[in-house]
Amino acid sequence: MFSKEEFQTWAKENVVLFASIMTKIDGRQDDALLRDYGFGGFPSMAMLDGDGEAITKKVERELPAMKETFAKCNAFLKTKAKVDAGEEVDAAKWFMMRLTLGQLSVAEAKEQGGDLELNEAQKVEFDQAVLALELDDLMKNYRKVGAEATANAVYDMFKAGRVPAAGSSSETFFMSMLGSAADKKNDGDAYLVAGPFLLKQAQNMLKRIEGMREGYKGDPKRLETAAEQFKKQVADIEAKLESYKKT
Amino acid sequence: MMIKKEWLSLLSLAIGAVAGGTLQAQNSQDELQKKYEAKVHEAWYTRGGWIDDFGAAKERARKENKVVFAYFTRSYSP
Repeated sequence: MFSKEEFQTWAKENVVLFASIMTKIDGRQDDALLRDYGFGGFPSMAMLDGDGEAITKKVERELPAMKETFAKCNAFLKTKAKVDAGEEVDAAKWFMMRLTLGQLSVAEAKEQGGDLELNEAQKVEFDQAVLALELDDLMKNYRKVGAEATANAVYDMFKAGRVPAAGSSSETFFMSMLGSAADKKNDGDAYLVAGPFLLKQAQNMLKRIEGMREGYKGDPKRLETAAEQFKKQVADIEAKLESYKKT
Repeated sequence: MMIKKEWLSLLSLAIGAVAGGTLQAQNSQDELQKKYEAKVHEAWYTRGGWIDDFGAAKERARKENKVVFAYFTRSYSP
């Protein structure tokens, strides 16, 4: 995406592009930045203010969504300037800005949100944002908590009517866990929600692998193994969907 | 984040495709420097007008009243 002219034109007008390149060269101070910002791996993206404070660490990879996040960051900075100057701001709007930029923990969101009068649209956004934070926490603690407990927690969210919005960054993790739990519990209704999503994911992965065949420089056996794994996954999901549809 | 076995194999394939095989043993400082130089000469970096000095990026952001778009990547490995 960074090579595209559309991104470069937009970026030139609107942001300062900073590439934090970890080099492992002795003495290079900026090498520690990834860890300083709490990121776990590459690549990662963030929008920062002029003092290096993170405004958001949730930056989408597609330009349209990225531009929306950027607009939210700008709005945040303007409001923050007012807050810092002691000016009165709309408390609910200020809270929602910080929440949707990922600046609050689940506990902070629930505590602070409980004191505010949110309008209907804000309530919907609040629920989705808190759900996203809870799913983030589940992802981070996956290894500690274990696969089954995580899947069951997501299943409980689903049964309570809490589902991430289509296309949200949490959707893949949610559907993966829901599919796993639904299948173990033999819950056809739940599997018929997760299954089509998982099927499409597996089919897309298979297409990508097939597309890698030409010009692939690695071991072709590894490519073949991966292709077989995804073909099996596609077949398994299709069979389960068929089975649950019949019951 | 949970990564299924299948996703891990796809990730390892991608690494293999770019590197042409398994990763090399620990690089010398010269090799690391060369890799860094190669990274900052890639088209996305040069044409995009990226800065890799954090202090300079923050200063420019303050001066121009702009947000810093920070991209965390690496040069020592694909």
